[in-house]
Amino acid sequence: MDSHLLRFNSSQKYLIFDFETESLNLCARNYPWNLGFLVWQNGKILEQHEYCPWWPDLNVSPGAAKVTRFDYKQYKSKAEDAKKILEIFESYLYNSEYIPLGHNTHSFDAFVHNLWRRESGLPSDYSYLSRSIDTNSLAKLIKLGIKELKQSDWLTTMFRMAGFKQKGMKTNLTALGKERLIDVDYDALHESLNDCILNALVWEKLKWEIEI
Amino acid sequence: MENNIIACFRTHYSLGRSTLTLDKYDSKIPEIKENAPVSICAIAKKHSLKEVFLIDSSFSGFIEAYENLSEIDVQLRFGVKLVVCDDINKKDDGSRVNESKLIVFLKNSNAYKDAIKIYSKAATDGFYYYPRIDWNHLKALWTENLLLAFPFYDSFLHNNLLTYKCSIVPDWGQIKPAFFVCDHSLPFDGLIKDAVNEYTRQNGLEVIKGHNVYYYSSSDYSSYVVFRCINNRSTLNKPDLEFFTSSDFSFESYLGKTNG
Repeated sequence: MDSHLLRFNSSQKYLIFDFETESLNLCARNYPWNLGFLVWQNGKILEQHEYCPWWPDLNVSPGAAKVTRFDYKQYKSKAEDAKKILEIFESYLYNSEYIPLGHNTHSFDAFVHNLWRRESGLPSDYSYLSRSIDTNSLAKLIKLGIKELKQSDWLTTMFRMAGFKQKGMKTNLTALGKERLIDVDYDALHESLNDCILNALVWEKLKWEIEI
Repeated sequence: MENNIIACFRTHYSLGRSTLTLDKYDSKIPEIKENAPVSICAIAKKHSLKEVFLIDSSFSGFIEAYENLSEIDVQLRFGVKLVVCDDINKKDDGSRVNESKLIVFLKNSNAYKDAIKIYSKAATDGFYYYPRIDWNHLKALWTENLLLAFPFYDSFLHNNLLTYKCSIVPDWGQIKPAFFVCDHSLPFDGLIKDAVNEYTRQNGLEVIKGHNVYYYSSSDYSSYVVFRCINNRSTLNKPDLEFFTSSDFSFESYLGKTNG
């Protein structure tokens, strides 16, 4: 009877993505200097991508540089044309074969992507969000004791929970991973691809904790 | 292109919300200066506006707006935006869960006194962090000289939809309100728009297309962001302004949506 649930759908592919950025600004220029994404299916990585979009005037804030261990020389040596990377990423993001999934997508990453589109002269296009999962929003639902989330309510609920805060409720990726005894190198987080891998493993647990 | 969209201006009198002023139009300096605050009077003159819809969160700029717009023969349509709660006598964190916003428009020259009574009630007895009115007091103080409208963002429909545990049951009695719908390129605009359209269709209420204007042109956006951060006591690297992610609140973008 529950065959519609994602936990039983082994053929479903997920696009798990994460950006590292100059700062936490979502209003104006905030270049993503690192993008990591995985194609994840049935508990396995099918593809993994990591890119450093080139921004000549990149200016990573001291706070962001410390957290993400940003190294300009390394960045410069890896950097590639930003427009080409955006095209590659969007060929997955706007493909309905995948469920886009991330941690804080509805309060951060979606807006970083939108700023990147704006910087590339493209209009806003959030159409993929209606079929996207924000694991931070999902974790908050679980901690509040909510047992079910219908697909028709995804967009509203993800935004509703993205703006929800409760004292003492910890739903960051590290907390979720440690609570679920997921064994990864937690010191290597805030590197986009490592975050994606932990996010994928957290999702594998969360999907059994709520009917989605 | 649509030509029936209303530009809903806000001024710096709505603290921290807009960089627009109400300075007198100066015929000696007719052009709108770059790198300086822009006056709504200058915008009205430059773009030959016959009327200006001004929605502020206080009456502080009302007289200035009335005098300076009258001087250039522009009709002022003033609305005061207020927080509405279940009961103004409840002043605790719990009482804030069911807060939302509404706009009281002045329909005619007799409306000022009526609107001031509502605002005074909100700013004195109802004050809790900011002026608040409740549905019962709103109904008791309401007159035919006023028009009730609900803004696109932060109305009871918006909050019921996008705020966890928010469950507002509005009670405006015999008042017939109107609802604004906007499109500011935010990802949840469509959700709110659907909710407004469905609600107004079911209840036979009027929908007004609006565009919120907080600054003049897209080149003013970065100044506006800095202004918002200063008022929020935050920094550009970490603005802490929830869902403040669209640059589509300028008069220029309003013009782009209309034939103006």
